[in-house]
Amino acid sequence: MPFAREPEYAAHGRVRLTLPISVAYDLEKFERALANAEHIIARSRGGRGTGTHLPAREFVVDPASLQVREACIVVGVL
Amino acid sequence: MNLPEFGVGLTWFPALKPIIEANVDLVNVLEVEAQSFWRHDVIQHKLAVDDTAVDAFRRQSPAKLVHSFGCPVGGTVHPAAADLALLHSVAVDLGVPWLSEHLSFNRVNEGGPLWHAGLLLPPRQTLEGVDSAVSAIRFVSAQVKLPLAVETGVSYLRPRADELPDGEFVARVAEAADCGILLDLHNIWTNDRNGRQPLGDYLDQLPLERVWELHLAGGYYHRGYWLDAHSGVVPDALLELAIRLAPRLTNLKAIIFELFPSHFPNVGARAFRAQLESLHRLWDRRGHSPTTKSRTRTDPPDPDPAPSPKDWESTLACLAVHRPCDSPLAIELRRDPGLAIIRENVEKFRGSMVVRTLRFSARLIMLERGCAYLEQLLAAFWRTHPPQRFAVDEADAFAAFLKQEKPYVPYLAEVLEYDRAVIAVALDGEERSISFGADPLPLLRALGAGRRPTEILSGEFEIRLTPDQVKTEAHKLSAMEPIH
Repeated sequence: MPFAREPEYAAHGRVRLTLPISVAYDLEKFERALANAEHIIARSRGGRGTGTHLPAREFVVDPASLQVREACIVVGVL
Repeated sequence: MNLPEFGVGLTWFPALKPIIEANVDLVNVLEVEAQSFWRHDVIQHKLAVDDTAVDAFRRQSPAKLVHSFGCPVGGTVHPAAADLALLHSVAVDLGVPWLSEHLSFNRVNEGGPLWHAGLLLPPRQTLEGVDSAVSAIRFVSAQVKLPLAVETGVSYLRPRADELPDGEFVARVAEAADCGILLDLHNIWTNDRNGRQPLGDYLDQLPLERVWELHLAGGYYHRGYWLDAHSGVVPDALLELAIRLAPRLTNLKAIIFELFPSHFPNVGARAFRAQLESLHRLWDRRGHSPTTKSRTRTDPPDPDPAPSPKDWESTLACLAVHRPCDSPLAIELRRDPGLAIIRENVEKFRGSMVVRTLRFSARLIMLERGCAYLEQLLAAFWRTHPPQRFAVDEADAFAAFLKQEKPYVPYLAEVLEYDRAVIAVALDGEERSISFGADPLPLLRALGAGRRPTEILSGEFEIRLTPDQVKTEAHKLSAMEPIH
């Protein structure tokens, strides 16, 4: 069975991924976009250091390139 | 009836487009199933015609014919007027000279809301059954305002002593309703192989001058039954029989080869082209002068034997979808091994609607608990929920069933919400957010790749699904799909 433990970046607050429906519905695009998202989230997590705390972080998938960027947080959005 | 001649054609599926283009010299006509243009408008909760898809089809070069499987005319329940309005709309848009529909039934009236049987089922073949079918044909003809040809159906049930022979039933219906016949020779061949009326006897009972259209297809044996599977080329013996029959078909206007695109690789490009060439030779042998051969007739029992067509439809449909039914007819039909084939067809179709719509949820259940467990859940669902006409509705009903049953499958609730949200956003264009208590990225990636999710980390996550301008294939989930 799968098991659950706290990921390092979970301690930094809620993570939201914005996914265009054309990517979500197409399994091939979906796989590439999620692979990019995992990479970007993990990398950005490492770059923030342990002293940084954000209540929420948002990442957005571009439907054309499938690249993922971190979006600016608007307080109160999440 | 003075109808135009078309020649040889194919049942239209978008996936066949390159194959048709490669054989354009041999394809005179494309026959489309009207319901492939119908969409379930999830916003307005009604059916609508996908005008864009109709326009795209109209731009295909050969002539067009429209076939229907959603408004069958073999039963006591008339097709819905709203459905017939859509059928009429598609026929008018494509400018076809006639419509064809199945001499079967698929809806049941037990006094409450009408429900769907999930499959085209064989009608009660008695004089009362003839009257019901004639009434339905007249109703449909009045609504669609076009000549109608009834398709000769397939039945996996054993022949009954209390019913009219298959050919005679069709003959009596066609003559009383004064309609055409779409002679699906593969259906009749299938019935013959499975123990029903011999094909030659069947043809001797038909008013062959009423045959406007011929359907030919291939099939295969499964659990001792030949299936009308549209899965390959026309069997040689059936083609030879068609060649002998052709001179007797003096009003033949079109020959349609039915092949599901998924089976094309098994046929291959060369055999496909050879098949079209052989159908052109068949077309060239069609009759031109009226024949005088008399038809054989049997005397039906008087009065009509029980059960009535209404009881027949209710019982057979209940058995097909595993609804409780203990009438003497139900007990009798349960002993018919053909019932298992009908049930299997319904279940395969319903299962495929769920698996294609709730993609990640179905995979999650299979990967966590095994295929047999998903089959158990589906079987329990089928016993308590009648089939839906649209994949999105079937999937919604199954999702609600899972929410109620709460099977032990880690992350199922969240993945189910995600699957439903993907479909909803694709269909109505409204943004949706799904919260996850575990990291959805490795979870959904694993499911997308068909792997069991492992080492999924807990935390607060959210996926926001947004509409965009790229057209997805999701619209197909709001369409009716052919199952005959």
